[in-house]
Amino acid sequence: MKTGRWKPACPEVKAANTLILFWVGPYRLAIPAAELKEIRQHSGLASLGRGEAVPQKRECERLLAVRAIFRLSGKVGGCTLVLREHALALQVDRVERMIETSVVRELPNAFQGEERLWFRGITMAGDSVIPILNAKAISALENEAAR
Amino acid sequence: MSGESAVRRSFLVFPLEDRRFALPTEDVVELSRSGQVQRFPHTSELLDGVMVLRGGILPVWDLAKTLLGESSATQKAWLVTRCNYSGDERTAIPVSGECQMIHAAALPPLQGSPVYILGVLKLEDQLIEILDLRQLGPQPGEFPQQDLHLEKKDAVL
Repeated sequence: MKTGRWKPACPEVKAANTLILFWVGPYRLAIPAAELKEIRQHSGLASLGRGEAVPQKRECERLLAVRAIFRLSGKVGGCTLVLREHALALQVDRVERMIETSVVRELPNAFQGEERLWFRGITMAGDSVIPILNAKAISALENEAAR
Repeated sequence: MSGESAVRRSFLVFPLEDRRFALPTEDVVELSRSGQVQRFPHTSELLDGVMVLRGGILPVWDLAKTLLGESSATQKAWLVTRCNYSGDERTAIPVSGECQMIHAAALPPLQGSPVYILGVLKLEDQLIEILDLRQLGPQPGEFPQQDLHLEKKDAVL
């Protein structure tokens, strides 16, 4: 009689996407952790003496306020996500946590506006739907708008 | 629909604020009393956000805003309808109150009615417009291809 395992000893692990969840106004969004180089909190940064802390900007780094991209009013956020590529940093309100997800879906086809460029897709964290930011596309849109 | 139809069909009558409209029942998948709209930044004017229903993500179509000019103040239930822009995508439409299903013969649309009015029903001395969701919704367009390949390996922060 043959004995032995019918299944592999180490079951295959599905590739997971690691995402950083962050807030911009009332919206919770995500960005792939692999795209981030650094997260900076503004509290420790230089102030202009007007009681307003501003993020430090490194050489060749372009700062984008995500609130402005989504046309949200209100104070610019207190956190900066520095990307590995595009010499770009995104100003957001706050970073929440990191999650892993194996399911990324496209936006429903009913959405036909700029959101199809802003977001790479959507994922679920529990029952919450979280759009995943497309930093590359947003950077390209801002470049185009700046011309 | 042209001419008075003697054929009785099933329709779902639903309220949007103080008005009532109807849909052919073959356009309606279900009526859900639970659900919550989840919103994110977007520029699709007719849509409110999305809703999770049994693991599926449905776009939420603010039909009150489309037809009446402003969103409904009360959302008591959601109609899940077949309104496919591509494939089998379903849509959730918030309604203001109780719905009812009736079996009746539809009358032709009133003169000057928009193209999205299929006909009218006579119910309790009221004329209720029958909607064609395919004519109301945005038409399918060319979408930028979404990049769903996020990363090849995890990075360490």
